[in-house]
Parts: sequence; C-alpha cells; structure tokens
Amino acid sequence: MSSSEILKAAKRERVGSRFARRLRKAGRIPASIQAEGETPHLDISVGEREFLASRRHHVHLYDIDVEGAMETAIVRELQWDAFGDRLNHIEFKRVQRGVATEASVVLDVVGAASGGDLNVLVNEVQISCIPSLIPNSIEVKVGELTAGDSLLANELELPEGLSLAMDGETVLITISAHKEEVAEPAEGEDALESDGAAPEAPDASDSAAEGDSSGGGEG
Amino acid sequence: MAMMPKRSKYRKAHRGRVKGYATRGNRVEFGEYGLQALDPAWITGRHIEAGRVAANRATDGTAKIWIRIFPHKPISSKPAEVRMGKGKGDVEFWAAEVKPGTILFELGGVDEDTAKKAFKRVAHKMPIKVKMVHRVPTS
Repeated sequence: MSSSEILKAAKRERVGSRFARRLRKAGRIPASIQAEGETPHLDISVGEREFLASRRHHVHLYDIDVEGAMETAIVRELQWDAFGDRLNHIEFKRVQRGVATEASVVLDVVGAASGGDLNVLVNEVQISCIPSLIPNSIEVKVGELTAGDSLLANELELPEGLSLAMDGETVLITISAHKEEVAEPAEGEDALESDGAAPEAPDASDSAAEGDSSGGGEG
Repeated sequence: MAMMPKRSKYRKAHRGRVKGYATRGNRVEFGEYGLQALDPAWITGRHIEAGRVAANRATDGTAKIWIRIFPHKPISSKPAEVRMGKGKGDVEFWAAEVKPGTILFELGGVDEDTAKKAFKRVAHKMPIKVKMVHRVPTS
C-alpha cells in the first residue's frame, strides 16, 4: 500500500514546447493538474529527482504544494520520451482523501502456467478504492492454471478495500496448449539444412579458391 | 520467406528520408520485453525474418513473439553496369522505415534472462544499434 508524499511544485506562467524544453533542461518535469468541477486546470512543474524518487518508493498519492496551496492528487498519465528513458509530462488527477476514485493498476503475474503457454491479454486493470489504498500492483497466481484455462477480471483476488471498475467478463489471461507443430518445422528445417549442406560444399570450396586467388592477386 | 505486402497500390516509391524520433510504436505494448531501435534505418523483410528465426531458436519456441514492424516500402535499384536513364529500376526488396525509438520485436512468456539471450541473438541480425527495454508505467 502506498503512503502520501509532499511534492513541491511551481506554477508554469508560460506554456508551450519551448518553455517545457527549458524546464526539462533545468531538471524539472512539466505537469498539469486536471480540472474538476469548478476547480480550474493548473499548469505546474515538479522536480524530476523528487518525483522519480517517490515513484521508486511506490508512492501513488501526492500532496502537491503549489506555491502554498495544497492539492491532493494521483498520477493519471505519464508521458515518456521516444526511448522511454525520461519523463516528458505528468498529468495529475485531483482526488479527495476518503472518497473512492478510479485508478489503473498493473497486474503482477506470478508463477508459470503448467502444460501451456501463458498469454497475458490485459496488463492493467481499473480499480476503484480510496486513494490511500491504491496498490503498486495486483498479484495474479497462474501456477494452478492449465491449458485451456482463462482468468476473468471478476476472478481476481483483490486486496481489501478495492473493487473492480471495469467489465468483470474481460479476459485477462489465457493458457493455450503447446503447439505440436512447433517441433515439426524445426525438424523439417534441420532436414533441409542437412540436404542443402551437400550441394553447398562445392560452393564453399569455390569461394575458398576465389579467396586464395584474390589473395594472390593482392600479393 | 521474407515479409512483403500481398498487394500494393503503387509499384515503386520515393526513397524519402528517415527523420526524427518514433512517436508511435515506441512502447512495449503486448509482451513483457521489447527490442528498441536506436538508429534510423530501412529494416528489410529478410532482417525481420532472420530476427524472428533467431528469437524462436533462442527460446526453443516457448516464447510468444510479436513483430511490431512491417516492410511496407518497395526499394528499387538498377542492375549493375547499366547506364543512367531508361526509367526507375525494378523493386529489389521491401523495407520497414524505422525511426529511433521504434519497438521492433516483443517477447512474452519467458523470464528476463531468456529474453536477454534471445534479443542478443536478434540484435546481431539487425542492421542498426538496438537495446532491450521493459514495459514503462503509464500511470
């Protein structure tokens, strides 16, 4: 479970790509807090190091200090650069402590499926809970699943205080039987390769001969 | 058999330039690990097929492999020792235009060590520098 952390933010007076780029160069990440009802949208910037450190500590709930005014928020969306190395932008969503909100949580698949291939169809599930209870991930044990089995969203074992905020019939994980054909083409390929090896042998000697002749020419 | 489109609207295309970074197809979406391009390039159907076979053999066929690029671009060239003019050459191969950041392959259903081993083999088949990446959190 995550605790909250205070994040110091500064208002962005000037927006746009040029100013965002300058902020990133100065070690800050452009961010925004979504409007909610009559509360207006806010353009802010947060320190890159502080934010990434909080993420490493699995913090999901933030008390954002925007030049004295406190805002409670969770992360709604992270935008990364082309290589997924640096954060380009953070979008926060205003929440209230003690009031349930929706969030997407990553599934943590544990174990290996017996007798089949594991297909993870959905990596994140939408849950509803109070902000302080948002987990870092939801564990899914697949060790007992066998070929042909599937796991639906409503079959997830959610921690206490969490409820599902998506279609319960959504298939999250399936186990498909090992394909028998996988082994056969490999044998076929081997056979082809072994067949092809004999006629290729003279070519190899030819090329070696060419190499010798060219080598002689250089000398 | 190298990958190529089943049919195309126009037989030949301009060469063009690969500029900028990938803004789409630059996240691991399906598997757990991905192979990301670090340079711009034309990745031919043969490169893709060689990469697929290398990944399949390195994982003994146990991994689920996603190929995230497709060679849509026909590349033409003139035969050797032919004078200039007389029209554009014939299509020699098909290539995918890849910008830095593009995810080329994804692997799923295997542990990290196996994926690393497989991507190392695939990397040798690619004409550009690549790196292995994980899924990044989006929220």
